[in-house]
Amino acid sequence: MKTRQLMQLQTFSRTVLKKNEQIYIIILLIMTAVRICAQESFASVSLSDNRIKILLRLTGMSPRSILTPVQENQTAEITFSIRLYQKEKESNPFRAVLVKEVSKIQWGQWMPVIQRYVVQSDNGSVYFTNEQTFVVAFLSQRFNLSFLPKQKESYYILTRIQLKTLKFLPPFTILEPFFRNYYKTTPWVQTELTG
Amino acid sequence: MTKKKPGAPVLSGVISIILLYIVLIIMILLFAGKILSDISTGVSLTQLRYLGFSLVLPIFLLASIFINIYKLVKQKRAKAPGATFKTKLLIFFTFISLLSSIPQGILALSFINTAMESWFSSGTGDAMTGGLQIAIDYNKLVSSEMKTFSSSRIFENILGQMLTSPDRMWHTLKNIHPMINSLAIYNGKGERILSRSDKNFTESNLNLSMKEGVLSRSKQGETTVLRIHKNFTKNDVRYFAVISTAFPKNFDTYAGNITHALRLYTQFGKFHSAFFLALIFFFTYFSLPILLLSILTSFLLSDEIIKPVVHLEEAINRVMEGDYTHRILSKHKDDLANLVNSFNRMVAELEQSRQSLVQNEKVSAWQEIAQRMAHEIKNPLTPIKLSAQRILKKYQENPESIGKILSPSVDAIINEVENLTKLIKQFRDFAQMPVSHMSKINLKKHFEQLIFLYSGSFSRIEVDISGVKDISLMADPDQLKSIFSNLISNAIDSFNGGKGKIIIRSDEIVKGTLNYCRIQIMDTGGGIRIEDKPKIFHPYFTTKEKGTGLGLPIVERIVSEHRGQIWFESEKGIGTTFFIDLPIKQ
Repeated sequence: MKTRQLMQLQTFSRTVLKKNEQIYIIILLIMTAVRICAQESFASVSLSDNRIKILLRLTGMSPRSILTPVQENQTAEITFSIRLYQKEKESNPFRAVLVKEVSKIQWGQWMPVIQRYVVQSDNGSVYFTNEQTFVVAFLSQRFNLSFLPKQKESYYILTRIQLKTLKFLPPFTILEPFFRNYYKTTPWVQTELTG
Repeated sequence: MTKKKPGAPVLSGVISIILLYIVLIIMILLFAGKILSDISTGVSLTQLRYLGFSLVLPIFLLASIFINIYKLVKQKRAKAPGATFKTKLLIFFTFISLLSSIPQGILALSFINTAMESWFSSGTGDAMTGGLQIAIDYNKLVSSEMKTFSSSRIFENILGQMLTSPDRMWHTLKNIHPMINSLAIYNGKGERILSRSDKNFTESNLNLSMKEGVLSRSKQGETTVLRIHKNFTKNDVRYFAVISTAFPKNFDTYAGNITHALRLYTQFGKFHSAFFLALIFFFTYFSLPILLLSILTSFLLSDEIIKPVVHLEEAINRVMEGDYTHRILSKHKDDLANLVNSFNRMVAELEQSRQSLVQNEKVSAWQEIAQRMAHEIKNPLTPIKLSAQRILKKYQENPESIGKILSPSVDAIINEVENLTKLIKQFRDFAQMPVSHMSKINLKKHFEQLIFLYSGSFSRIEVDISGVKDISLMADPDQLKSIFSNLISNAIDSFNGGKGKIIIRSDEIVKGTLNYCRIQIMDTGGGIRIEDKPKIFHPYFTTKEKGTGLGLPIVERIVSEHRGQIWFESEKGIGTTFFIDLPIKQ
């Protein structure tokens, strides 16, 4: 199957893509900024031993929407962002203090030489042969943050996931504003932090 | 003498344009610089959020241009001096701007497109795909070889020499499978008991979780190493053998580079047209404000260029209106300044000639008046002299019968003296025009009152004043009444007691920079003879039996006093129309 994918990739620019050019021109002219709201971020948050453990996962995504560009030798990028807030006193319930902000980016690719999927991040590369496992790993991220909560203070966490199903390479980054259909961003989701 | 300065100072306009230009260039350099930097480094185009903000300046420029165009259209409709010339200049400047910027844009974009097309040619794509395929095939070959060899009986037999002659075993292994670069054998506890390598590999302790026959890949510096694990038994003792092979140095890096390049090539194939359109968009986005600024500058330049021409046109209009005192000042030392100086000299000479002409005309007029006066005075003097001579003769010949002729002769003398008194009074009226007292006059009401006065005296004549519009103008009401009375009387006289029609109408017109009221008094009378036409405004010229010949000269003088013009068109047997243009504001 992988050989077939590679063959597709080899002939991609010469055959299939030319047919798609007109479609992309139309897309460019329309310049729609599509923000798909069907996707949601799932966050599992726990606090123990002065450490916050968070599992962030993008749900509601069709695996095909990740796999198709990746199998076309493109890179997918996902950014997981968390913000830890300390709630204000009753005097001003609408304001909160930002305590910590962390973002992690990982990239998903198909490695044709070793015939494996890879999820790369600052922590290194993880290889996958199974498509489903790759998609699950790519759309998930764990955070393990040291945190010493103050007594009698309450905290909450905002989480957000930004997905680029196709990451443009320079100089094609100029196209980013016009192809918003490759970008999906979940709203900030609030989760109370309980010990 | 009124002198016109050569246009309002354009310094503020020039400074504004320069400031705008500097702001624009700074904005473009910063914004475009950041975008280009983001593009080259592959960072997301975060600055695009300011794209809307940076639209403020082009919108401002566009609005300024539209305001200027609107003003120009208004000027053109009002037929303001220089409006057409300014339009032509603007079209010219805009055309020049487009002529220079559009080819530049096309050229720049074509260069980029051609460069990209040649860089991402199908040959490059084939080379990259081929290179990648070689890497894939090589990787497959090595993996396959390692798997096949590790599961072969030969490998098991070679491992049998492990305890007796390990060096021989290694040499045999290398001879049979030169691709293998290292061998390590571990005991059941995972402790390394034997290790051979032709490369400087650092074999770590055995990972007992490794499954037999499964390839593992690891990096040793710049080299990728492929390992495979085999279990075997010797003398009922279990051992683990790990053979490794090294890929050529930087194999993975180079393969990664090819993959990355192919990724870029794929994006080029996929988004080539979109990329070109995006380039056009950004190029237009950044060059449009400069183009708009150049058009705005052309408005300023056009104003500056046409100013002397406008002043010249205005001055010509003033001269045409009879103001010979108007002069244009020019600070510049260019061709237009020479033109302005020539114009000023011409107007000065014209004024001198006019004054001279007026003086000559005055002299001629007075000579004519004197002749006419002498003639008019001489006419009654003859009967007076004859009457006096008759009385004297009768008194000398027969004084008793003097009573018979005394009364008619003295009556004749008195009658002629009265005529002389009347003649002198009219002459005095003509010579000494009263001082004008200007006030706002509604022309329609003025004519209505005037016609009412005449209504009883001309029952057979129809007077139509429906064409008199409700226009107000500044004039002396008595003198205005004198003008129209004279003209209407002349019109009535032209019917010789017969039927006729007098049509009076008025319109508001623009001459040069001034608004005028044009009054037309048309009659269907006998008309004026061709030979009389040049003389009708001459004092004492009359075609009537009892006319004084001072009516029309007085009318002309009043019109002139009001800074207006009077002329006529007449056709014998059809009628006469008098035209009077009076300025609405004095």
